[in-house]
Amino acid sequence: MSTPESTEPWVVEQRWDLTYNHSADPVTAHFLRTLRDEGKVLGIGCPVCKRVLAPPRPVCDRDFCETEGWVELGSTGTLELFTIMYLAIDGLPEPPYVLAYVMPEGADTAIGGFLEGVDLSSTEAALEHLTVGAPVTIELRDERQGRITDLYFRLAE
Amino acid sequence: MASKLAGSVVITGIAEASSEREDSLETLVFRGARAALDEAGLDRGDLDGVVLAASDQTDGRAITSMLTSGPAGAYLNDEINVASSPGHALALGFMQILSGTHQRLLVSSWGKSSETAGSVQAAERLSADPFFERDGGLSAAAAAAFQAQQRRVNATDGALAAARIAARNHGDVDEAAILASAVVASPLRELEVPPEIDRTFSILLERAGRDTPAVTLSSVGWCSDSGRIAERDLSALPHLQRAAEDAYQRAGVQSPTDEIGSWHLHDYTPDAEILAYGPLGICAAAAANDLALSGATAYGGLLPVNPDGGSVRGEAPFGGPMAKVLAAVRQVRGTATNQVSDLDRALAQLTTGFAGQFQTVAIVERQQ
Amino acid sequence: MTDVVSPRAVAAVGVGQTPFGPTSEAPTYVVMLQQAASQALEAANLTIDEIDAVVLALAPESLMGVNHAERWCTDYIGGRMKPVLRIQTGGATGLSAVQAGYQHVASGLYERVLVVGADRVRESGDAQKIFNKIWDPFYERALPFTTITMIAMSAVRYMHNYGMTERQMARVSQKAHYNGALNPNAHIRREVTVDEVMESRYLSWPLKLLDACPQSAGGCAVVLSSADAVKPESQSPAWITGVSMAGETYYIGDRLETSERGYDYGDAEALAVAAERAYAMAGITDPRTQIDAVETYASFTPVEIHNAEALGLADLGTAAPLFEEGFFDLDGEIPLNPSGGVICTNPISVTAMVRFVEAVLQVQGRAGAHQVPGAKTVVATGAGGSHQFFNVAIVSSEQPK
Repeated sequence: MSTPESTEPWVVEQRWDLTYNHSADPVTAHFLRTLRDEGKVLGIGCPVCKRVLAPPRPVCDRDFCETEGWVELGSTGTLELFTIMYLAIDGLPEPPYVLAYVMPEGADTAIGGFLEGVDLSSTEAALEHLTVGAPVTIELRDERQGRITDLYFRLAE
Repeated sequence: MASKLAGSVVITGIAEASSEREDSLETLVFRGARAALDEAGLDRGDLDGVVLAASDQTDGRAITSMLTSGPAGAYLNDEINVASSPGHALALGFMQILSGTHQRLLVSSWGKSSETAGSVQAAERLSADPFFERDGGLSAAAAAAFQAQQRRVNATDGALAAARIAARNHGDVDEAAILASAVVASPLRELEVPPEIDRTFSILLERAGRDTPAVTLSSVGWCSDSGRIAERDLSALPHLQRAAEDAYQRAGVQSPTDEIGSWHLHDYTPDAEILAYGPLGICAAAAANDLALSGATAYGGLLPVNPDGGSVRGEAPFGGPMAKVLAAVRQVRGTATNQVSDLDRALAQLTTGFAGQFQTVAIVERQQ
Repeated sequence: MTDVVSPRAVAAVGVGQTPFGPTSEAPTYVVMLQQAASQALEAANLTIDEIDAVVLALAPESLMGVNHAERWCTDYIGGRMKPVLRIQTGGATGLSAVQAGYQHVASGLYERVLVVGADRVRESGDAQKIFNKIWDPFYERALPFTTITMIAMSAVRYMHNYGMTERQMARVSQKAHYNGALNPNAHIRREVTVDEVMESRYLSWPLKLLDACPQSAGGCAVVLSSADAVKPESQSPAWITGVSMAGETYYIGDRLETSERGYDYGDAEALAVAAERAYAMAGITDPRTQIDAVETYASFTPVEIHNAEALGLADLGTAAPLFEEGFFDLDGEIPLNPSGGVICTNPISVTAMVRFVEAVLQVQGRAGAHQVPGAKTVVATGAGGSHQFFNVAIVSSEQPK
């Protein structure tokens, strides 16, 4: 007896419902807490390579050691990477918007965040202003929740 | 087939770490990896690679090795995640050194129960066949229970034997208390199954030759059973027998009970441990229940099994079985808490998957 | 770091690919595995019983929806009562699995190994939703990090460093689609013009729809054998002369300072590291003259441009004009992705294995309409993570000494 041909695919729906409580290490926790409560952006140093890492993390993976030495970073930085996002993704803002990596003054690595305030109605016009190396200011939201999105970037005037 | 490079893979550093109150998964992994390197007197740059056994859904990161490989020592190194079992990561590390592509590597595996909580079991359930088995409620606990039930039904005093093994492992809880503890998935009782904990394990493997204390990783053998639980003989474990045969043959072990000094068997239930005796050649399969009842597997007995207490006090999800390898290494080093005397070789058995679908056997030996 | 010891010689003796296409039209995961495995075994003239061990390539299984699917699929890959293990290194998985299979044989423990995988990338809906979960839960998940934005930012950097244009990226897509149309297994088999690419909608600047890969379903397999176990009736062996992998730091923000090699996030430094190691193993001292073709993992057009440089096929910052000139075309000096590459087919768990399989087909002379005439030494590369994991394998029609 042969398998009957079907005109419609047979689909079984299955849901994944998994909840995690990701515990943050003390370095990450301190950064996010300080960002929320004091409106300061911190970096941390590696005792071996001497880089200041931002956002800070507990381990330097190059030298394979714990980081130490908190540094308060300024509110200026350099635009290192960016993209103008046109895709709509569940849970993220309505496009278009700019995702950027900015290296704060005083740090050796860059932080990712939204870059706001650029007129995106014309890609070409926006790209006149959005250039790698452009000076940027690091802004803080008035109401902060202890998330990386408490900070964002603007092109310096 | 016996490798002509047998004897050439050694273990020069081991470490395990539990999580402290403020560990992230990444810092937990780092502490274990750092400690293993420190024990071997090495640094990250001395590695040719890292081999991980990391489970995305256990860690809550869709590609966990993106985030955990750095803390495990992978920067600019070769990195591979053998995501099917910690035993398989050890197996691949063994082969990487034998093949000559690597001289020195760090094997790591972990599980952070505090992060995953109730989702460990939910994630395990998601490994069941989505068409036929998932909706029927198959879970890791249910599979282990089927296996225990199958064994006990065919044994005399099967429940007592299981309780005796669990009591041996606990050390300070007697059989009666175990038999009186709540049923979690019949016939398994609460004091027979390990609670979930946070742990990371790291093992430094290298090609023999460096002038440093080492234990030989003589062999690893591994084998899988069918994914269809209903088609498996959960009490016969033929795949464990195959894995053990490979491990013995590669290590040149001809009479296991004479040549193996301590046995570190994966006791995710006491029944699973007892069912391993036959396939490993510790005794005839039909005599396993009696052996469990006899007390000969106690520390100080003729055939010490899990002298360190095994898993019953707690096992990390997914990576937990790697503890067996560390316990075996400590025995061979002579640094175990319940040290078996006059020991040259120890055997570790690791399993993963419902009722031990994947089996790995590793043999470690005093370096000649 | 590693003294380059000559391990036991290992060859690919049979390969299989199922026709790649949309998830909704593909067979179930386990069926595709079995189909790919059967094809490879048939090509190798072997039965499953003659296989000693199996390696499964399975990238994030949240895409195809069965956790640790290696458990479910064991029987479908001939794994029952055999040593089986599963590899997961994100996009690089397919080639990491080949590397692991290679080590099974080179170690002397096994003679014949089946390396197999499959994927159904849209099983859980849009893959980009799953990809949000690969990022750091504390600093990055709240942000729109996806594989698209990650590469878009790299392209922006490369453009800034070297002046690459969108039109040059489009030329890479035109080449990819031209080649893919010649490949019966490719998912997308439709030629496009540079203008069409330029007019396609933006995903994330500067990447447009036609600069990007599809989300594919399909299976792939290869049988690896020791020299002793090669059967005369198998397909002609393709010898693995070099294989290696290197991983960058996860943090994109850490890759902005220019390295000693002159690389930054606009480039793929770890690919250069992996290539150096693999070339050393294979005795390749001058990639531009000693390599006949390359199958390189590039899910977006700018990646193919910087990969060409990382592989030593062009000096840093010079590859984009070379693409425009046709240097990397199917009939060019060094054909890149004669199969159409990842821009035409991306079944994530096996995409990097497909690169290897296509390299094998080239040296076997079995690549049909997309054959590079006389190809003897072909490089395959994989990539995964935050453009973080890179692997390289080199196959040759000649057995290493």
